[in-house]
Amino acid sequence: MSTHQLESEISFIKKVIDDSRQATLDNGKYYILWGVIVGIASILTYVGVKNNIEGNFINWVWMNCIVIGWVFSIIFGIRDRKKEKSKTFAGKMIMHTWIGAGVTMAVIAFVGIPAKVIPYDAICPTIAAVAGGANYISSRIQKSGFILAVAFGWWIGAGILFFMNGIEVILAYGIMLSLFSIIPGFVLYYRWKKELAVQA
Amino acid sequence: MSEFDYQKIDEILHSRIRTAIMAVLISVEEAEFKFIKEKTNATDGNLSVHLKKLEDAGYIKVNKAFVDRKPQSIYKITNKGHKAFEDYIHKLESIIKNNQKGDNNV
Repeated sequence: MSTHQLESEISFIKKVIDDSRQATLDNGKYYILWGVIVGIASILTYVGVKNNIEGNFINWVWMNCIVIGWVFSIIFGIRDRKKEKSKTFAGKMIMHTWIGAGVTMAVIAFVGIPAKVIPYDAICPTIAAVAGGANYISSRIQKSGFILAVAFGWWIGAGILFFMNGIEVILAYGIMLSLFSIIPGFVLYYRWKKELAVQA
Repeated sequence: MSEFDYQKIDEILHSRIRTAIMAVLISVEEAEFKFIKEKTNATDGNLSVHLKKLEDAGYIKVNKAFVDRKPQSIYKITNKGHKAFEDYIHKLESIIKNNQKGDNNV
């Protein structure tokens, strides 16, 4: 066995390992799901504040939307895991990044506000900043320039929102959801479908 | 001249396609047949034969299930397989080092 043949063998093995480890493709469903759910909650919040709807209307909207979001996320997760062709460490890390981000956002919104330590104006930009962080980590794991751009979009948007006041922050946040959650979700979904068609 | 005993190399793993299968399975928690096929560029029949050899050697295990009424075979590397693959890599690296020493002494 020559040295060259053996080095080529090891190089081949390393390539297969690297290739397999990276094998994870975002199908964009969660981007679309959460973009739509939070978008609906944001619109209803804006309507509630503008029309001075009293009582716990806003809290009710957000509690229900978040619960619906988590239920559908769990259903998607169970169905996707059954159909996955491989379970990778990268896939697990992305899943846990988003679970962590989701719980963080829920704590900020559902504990921070009642505790009166986070003003209403700061909720959207804070949650946008967390979304930027989660997208950034996800982009590095998947080596996706597209998701990295989405991350920067969320961070820049969060920076702008911090300087805005009043209920218009919610409207601006709704626009961000379309730009950095719903539209990217559809782009990722179509890319995923195309990749599946190529592999079939 | 290398003094390395080539007979110590694992015959089960000393096959490009079986090495590729093990390289795939060592990188993931588990993988479906189709995924392994994509990564190794093997045909269905060829891949099945090599997977069976690895399974008979105790290096991998398979779980067969139905998903959406379609049969699915999920493969996982065993602890024995993990150790065997690591030993195989170390042996290849030792041969390279021994060959390089031999070349330097010429």
